[in-house]
Amino acid sequence: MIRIGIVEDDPTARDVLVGHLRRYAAERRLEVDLRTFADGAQLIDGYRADYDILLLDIEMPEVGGLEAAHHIRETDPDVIIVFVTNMAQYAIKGYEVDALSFLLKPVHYFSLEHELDRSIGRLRTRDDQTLVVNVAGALTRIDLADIVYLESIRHRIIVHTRGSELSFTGTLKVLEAELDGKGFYRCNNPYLVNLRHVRSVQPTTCTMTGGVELQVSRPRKRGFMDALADHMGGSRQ
Amino acid sequence: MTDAIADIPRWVTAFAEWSACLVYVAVMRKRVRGMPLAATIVAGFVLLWGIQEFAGTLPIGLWTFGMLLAVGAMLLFLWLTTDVKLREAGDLTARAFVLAEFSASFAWQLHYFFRGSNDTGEVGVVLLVFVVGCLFAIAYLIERRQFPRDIVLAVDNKALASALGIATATFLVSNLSFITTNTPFSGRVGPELLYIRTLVDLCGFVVLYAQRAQRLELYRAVELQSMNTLLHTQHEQYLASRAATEEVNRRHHDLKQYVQALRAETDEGARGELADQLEHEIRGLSGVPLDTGNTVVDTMLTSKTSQAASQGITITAVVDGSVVEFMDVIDIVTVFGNALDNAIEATRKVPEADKRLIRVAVYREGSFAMLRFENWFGGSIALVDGLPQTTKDEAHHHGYGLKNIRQAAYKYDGTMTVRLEDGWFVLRVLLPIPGA
Repeated sequence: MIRIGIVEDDPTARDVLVGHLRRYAAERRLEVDLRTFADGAQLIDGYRADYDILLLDIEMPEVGGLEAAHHIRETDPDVIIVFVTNMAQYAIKGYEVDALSFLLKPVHYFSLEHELDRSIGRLRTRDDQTLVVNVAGALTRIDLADIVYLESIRHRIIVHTRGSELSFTGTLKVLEAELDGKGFYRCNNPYLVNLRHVRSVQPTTCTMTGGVELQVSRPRKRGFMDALADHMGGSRQ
Repeated sequence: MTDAIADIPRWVTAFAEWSACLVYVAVMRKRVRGMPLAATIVAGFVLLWGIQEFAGTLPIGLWTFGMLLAVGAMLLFLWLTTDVKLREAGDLTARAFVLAEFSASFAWQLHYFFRGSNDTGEVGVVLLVFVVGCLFAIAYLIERRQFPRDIVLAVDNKALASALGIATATFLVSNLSFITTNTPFSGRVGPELLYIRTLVDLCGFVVLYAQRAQRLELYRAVELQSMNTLLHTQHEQYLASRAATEEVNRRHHDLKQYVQALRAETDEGARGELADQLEHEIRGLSGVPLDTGNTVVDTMLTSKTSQAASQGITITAVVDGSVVEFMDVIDIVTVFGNALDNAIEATRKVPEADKRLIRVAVYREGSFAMLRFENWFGGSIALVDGLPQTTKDEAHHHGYGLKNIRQAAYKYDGTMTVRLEDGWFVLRVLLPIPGA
């Protein structure tokens, strides 16, 4: 079930969006819970963080889309915000509320379809991303988002998470294959780093969340930077 | 043929031809991989050896035919294993052939000198294989630099003819002594014959190497020039549109003053209405100016957006211009200009009007600046070394633009990636923000 909110003061434009969304849900066989609002004020009044995606018109009489988005971000950092506007200039500052793309009116089905595909892809990669490992005979589940990096010392693997360490028997090669496509990169022989925890990059090292500095081997530097670019640039591959 | 020295054993020639082909298989991009590649390589050896043994049974009159057969087999082998066009395969065959002739001759010469007989024996076999193997390892190291993966050096008829000519001449001269001793260029004594052949073959290989090196040099010079021209054009365009924007802003300001003066001077309702209309029109003309937080980015986006709009292409941009504040003007112009020009060029050809879309996102992620340019593309293109393959003239142009972007990214210790994702062409530039 995907919960989508549409905020649009112009009834005609609202109907177009609703129509597109119904078509999208039917084509993708998705269950969609659709709620509509005629102004940003209606949305933020008593807003509860239970939406997955919000389609926000930017120009509305009382509370515009950008203002509403700023309000919402104070309590809801997760909801995906997609602006709808007829002036491209109005959306240029969408990055302030983590809305990195927008739809231009009149909204064509094709562009909405692509935007929704991408948003739903982002929703899906968010949940159920875990790694199950065998720590001293007990199966332990670790959230991928918590892993800063994995380290291999002789035949043991040390999982460095935020604040703790776990260790078990295994090889990085197996883990590397298991975590393929999930935002991890082998920046050096003993390290498999979580790209979302890379804070900065220096000529031969990278600094991770928590301030640990890891060596990046010369032959892997280029590939590491490319993987980082794809990861940060929102690639789902 | 002299009686004193038997000719090189057939299997040595076959082995040399096969290994020479392998050198070029190793340096080139492969057509197939894994098991099919291994199978083709094994089959290639069997075929070459078979042809050599078969040629050995032919009468001397059909000697040329035997050689042509071997060359044909090498061509086939190279064409099946490497990802090249037929002409390039021909060029590679010429190289591989001369290299094979040289190494077979050299190895046999050494063998003759040290073993002193024509009898190969087990030690002889090991020696021959070892010598040929060493030569090919060296040849690989030398040739690898001549065949950079990111450059597809097209072989035209002229280049092919010259390579084939060099190979043929080398082959004929090197074998002259074996056909007749009665020319000014023939050796008359046994070992001397081998030595002449080895030397001539070596010369042939060096000439082919020099020919390739020169063509590569020329290609790079042309490329550099084109990149510089493109860079220059982008900058010129930027200066022109900045001047135009300033001009519009200035006039806008002037007209506003004029409207205000007009209003102040008279109270007549009609005049006021006229002034309102005038102001309204001005507003319509200039629109709401873009404000990303960086004037260079503003100018680039404004000019490219209107350029795209005139071709029915929609650009939607979410841009925090302040994150690229650390970049030099010329680099911002290079990245935005080339990325958007490429996207416009590619999107222009999309038949459905509602799919002519370009999306730009520039934002800060931790201590990095992320610049992303996407355009709907619908098709697929081959990527060579992370860039679209550059063979056609138009694609060439595209290639230089991307190379310029990559240069700019490298300058700031960043990187650039090009991906094709569900019909979208996605260009990402990641730059560490200095001092962040």
